[in-house]
Amino acid sequence: MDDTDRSTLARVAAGDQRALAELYTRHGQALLAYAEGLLGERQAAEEALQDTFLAVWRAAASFEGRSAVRTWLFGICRRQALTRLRRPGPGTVPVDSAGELPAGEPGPEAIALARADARAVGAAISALSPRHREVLDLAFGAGMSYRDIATVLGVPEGTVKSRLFQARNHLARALAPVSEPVPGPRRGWSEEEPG
Amino acid sequence: MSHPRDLLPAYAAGTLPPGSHRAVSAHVTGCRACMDELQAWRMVAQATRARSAAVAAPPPFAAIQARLRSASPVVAPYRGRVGERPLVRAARLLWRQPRLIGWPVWLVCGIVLAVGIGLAAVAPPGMGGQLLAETVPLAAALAVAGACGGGDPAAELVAASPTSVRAILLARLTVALGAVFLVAFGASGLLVGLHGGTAAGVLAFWLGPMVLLSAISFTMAVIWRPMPAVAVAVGLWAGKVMVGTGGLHPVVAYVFTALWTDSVLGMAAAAGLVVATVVLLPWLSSRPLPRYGPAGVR
Repeated sequence: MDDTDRSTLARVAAGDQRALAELYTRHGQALLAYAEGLLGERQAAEEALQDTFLAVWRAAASFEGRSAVRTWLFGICRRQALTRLRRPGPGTVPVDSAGELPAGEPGPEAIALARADARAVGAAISALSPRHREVLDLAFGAGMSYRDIATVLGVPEGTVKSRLFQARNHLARALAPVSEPVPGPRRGWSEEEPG
Repeated sequence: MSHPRDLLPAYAAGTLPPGSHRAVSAHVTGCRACMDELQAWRMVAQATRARSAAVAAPPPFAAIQARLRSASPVVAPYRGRVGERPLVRAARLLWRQPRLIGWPVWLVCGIVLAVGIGLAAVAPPGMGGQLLAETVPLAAALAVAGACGGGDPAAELVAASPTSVRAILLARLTVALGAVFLVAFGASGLLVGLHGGTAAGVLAFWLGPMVLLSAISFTMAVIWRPMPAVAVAVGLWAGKVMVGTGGLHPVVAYVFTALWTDSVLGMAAAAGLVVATVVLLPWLSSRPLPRYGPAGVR
């Protein structure tokens, strides 16, 4: 897949618009879904997608192959989406410890989540903060490895894992029977990392 | 195998390498707790994929094509063959740097130089060189910090370009330092015209400190960030000014005076710093710094 992408990108760098259209056909849908997850809005996500491909058109010649083309595209798309959020992205938050990985036996919240209704889980994902939703989108929606996600987000792999677990814990809490207060939806980019 | 909990999300996503995938498979079939955990991840994966699949197809490519016609490359990529005509290539590399170095860098540096040269021109004869010696090194250090520290919007494109980071950095150092040197050299000539003396005599005041302070600023900006480099340059400058007040401990005053004096040792230290930084550069630039900020490629 990446070999195909690389040769297509080389044609883009040489000024071939059809090659850019091929990249768009191949990755447009996944990028749009990711941007929509980040921005929560179709119109803004489409604009971010357009800007992503304009940036690719301009910068294709400078792609150096340090990552897969797809990872590079997601990185550009993320920057374009964050520019629209007009707030600092999570990549600029320094305190993001990887020390929150779970250890030992799984808790009962995993069981609650496993038995939940798929639609309810989908709704709970919509209510997650963009920071947590994007890591789910990249891992499961786009099917990226921890390393690729880390490249896109500009954080260490450990942070990717801890964010995945935080996202899942939020989902489990939102879906648990109402025995404890459920935290409200968190829509903005929050500076503090929930425990 | 202990509970491979941190691998379960990747396992559910199907993105584990085959070896790890088999190991997790084997563990999960025998471990009830991990199986429950995996089911939870599978549910999250399924719901996330359903959300992604529900996003309607992107608009046709024509919308982007329409915008491509008005879009031109920000900086045209270098199309020459690498290794051919090295002098032409070096000249082009240098020629593009002033535009890529942000205008605030030139502005701040210009203000410091203008103030220094202005004061030196109206100072009594004999004091002009001293005043240049107190401002030119500061201007040079600020220019070098701004030009070589990265963090500007162009830095990302530069980092991804086929030209080596070392070449870019040296080009920027040359341009920033060269500009300050030319202006200060011109000002020295002006002082000689106004007050007499020799150009070499005036040069001896500021050249040594300029080289050393720029080298310190360069190393700080490249190894760390531009802001600490600026802070150190301003701190060294403040220290030099305070030596004049006589309020410093003699040892501290001696150190600052030595730093701000034209000496062979200072020049050698400066050269050592720059060479070490440039040699270490490829390893430094692979640091896991956050590379994607909101101001990315446009």
